[in-house]
Amino acid sequence: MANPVPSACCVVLAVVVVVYAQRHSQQDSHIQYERVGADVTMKCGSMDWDAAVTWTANGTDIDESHLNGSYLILKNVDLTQSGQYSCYEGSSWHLKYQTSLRVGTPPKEPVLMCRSNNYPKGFYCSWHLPTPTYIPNSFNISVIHGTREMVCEKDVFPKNRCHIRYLQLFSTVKYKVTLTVTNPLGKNSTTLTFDEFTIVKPDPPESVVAKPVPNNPRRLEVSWQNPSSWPDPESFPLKFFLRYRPLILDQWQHVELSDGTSHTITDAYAGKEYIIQVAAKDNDIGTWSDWSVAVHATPWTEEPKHLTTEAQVTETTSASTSSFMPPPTTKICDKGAVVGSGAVAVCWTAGLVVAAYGVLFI
Amino acid sequence: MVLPGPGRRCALSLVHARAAQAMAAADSTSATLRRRDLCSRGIRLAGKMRSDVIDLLDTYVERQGLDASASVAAVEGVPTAAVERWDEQTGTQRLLENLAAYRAFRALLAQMLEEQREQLGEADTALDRALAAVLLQVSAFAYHLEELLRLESRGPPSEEGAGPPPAPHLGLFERKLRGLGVLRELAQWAVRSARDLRQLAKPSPGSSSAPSPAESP
Repeated sequence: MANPVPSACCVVLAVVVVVYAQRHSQQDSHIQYERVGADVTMKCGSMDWDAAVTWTANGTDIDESHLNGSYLILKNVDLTQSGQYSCYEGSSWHLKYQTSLRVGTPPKEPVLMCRSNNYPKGFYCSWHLPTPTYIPNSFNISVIHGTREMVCEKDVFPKNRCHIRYLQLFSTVKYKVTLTVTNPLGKNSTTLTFDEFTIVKPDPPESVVAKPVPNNPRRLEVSWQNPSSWPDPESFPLKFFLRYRPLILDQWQHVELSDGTSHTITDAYAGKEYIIQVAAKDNDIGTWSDWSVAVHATPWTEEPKHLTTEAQVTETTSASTSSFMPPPTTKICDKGAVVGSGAVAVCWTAGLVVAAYGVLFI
Repeated sequence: MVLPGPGRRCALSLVHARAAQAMAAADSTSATLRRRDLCSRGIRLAGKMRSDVIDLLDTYVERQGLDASASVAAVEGVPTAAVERWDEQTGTQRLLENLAAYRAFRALLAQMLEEQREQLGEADTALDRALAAVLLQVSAFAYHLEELLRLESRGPPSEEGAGPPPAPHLGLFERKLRGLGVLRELAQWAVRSARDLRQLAKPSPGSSSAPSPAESP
């Protein structure tokens, strides 16, 4: 037969653990939200005002100067005072009360934006708070079109976005979107009203490529693709805006293109590196996309000829020279190793002396 | 006269059938090309019309002393461009709805022009001219749509009984608001018409069959 004493001990121990856990779970679940700058008074559960208690904040004893009897007084709370506050009975150190203090602010008016980058399928709305509240917020969005309430399906990621499918196209009735943000300290809301057409803004063009054109020192061939998010470019064609400039200049040149996804720049500066970007817009409605990722390209240039060949050509011929070639030197100067301006001056002086000698004796 | 034998008759029938097929194909190709040409021109016409209607809206709002952002309730007799399941419409449905709309706008604009002239006489010729120009474009577009319907071998529906809507008894301000509603809806139709014609211009097995949905996976 098993010894009953250890079994009884185990039962008692189990009961104690359960009761302790229950007490702690009830106390742990208490959360208290307070505004920044507020004065907070915490009671030690059901303890009398004159009971001897000890308060801790995140496990650290709180000085008695913050106590009024058994009450804890926190004046003008700030964000750093968020944490776990516990109250223990005097000498027994029984936990009598516990709360999680969260200091924060009520929400300011949220910033809401709606856009259709996949017209005519639908549009999305996204939002954020202009300043953090430091406590959890919940958002509720409503979309009304005329008398009809539409469903805005929340995206998994990012969490502050939802999308709506168009039920009607070409409507003159405006959409009204209201976003309400709520937290334990207050609520706020904002409303946007817009036409179907005005929020249409495609994503930037993709896969922009710029290449030099062989044997054409002033041309660059640019090509791109429709943004992949635009569902039907055939029925809803996009037009494009291309801008380009040499890296050394600040001013852009612009070209608007009503069809096609390529363009040849014909007035590039020879040999200069260019930066090129493209934007897109529905042919009929909405606004221009952001600029695409920038690409760089330099027009084709002729390969330089070999150096020795060039020197031989200039020695043997007295033909006219290009603007980039130094003027030919005289024969007298050629005989010497003419290097530097000092040597050139000596050379010319010698030439003048010879000429003067010639004038005197001829 | 010697008649061709059975083998020869069969060969001749085959030749005739092939010739008929070739002619039909040529006709079909010709009709397709004609349709595409009409659609392209129609798209350009719709684009120009929309641009002019938007300018007219600005002029109208200014001359009539209205607030450009004033909301106007749905006006009786004005065809609304708003449509559900637009991408599921057949080519013929598109053409018929467009034609009905532009015939209605033709009558409405004529009415507006008449009211304008009665109200102001010769005082506002700029608005008159702008209204008249848009009316002309609307009429031209309606004719264009009729041509497209003839090409679909449907022929446009007659206009009997579809005369101008009875002029409602409205005060001056209500008439101005109604005019605003007409022009706004016309601007929407011009956009819709361009889209409809692009759908129509897409190569498809038959213009009467439903085009493939515009949605991408």
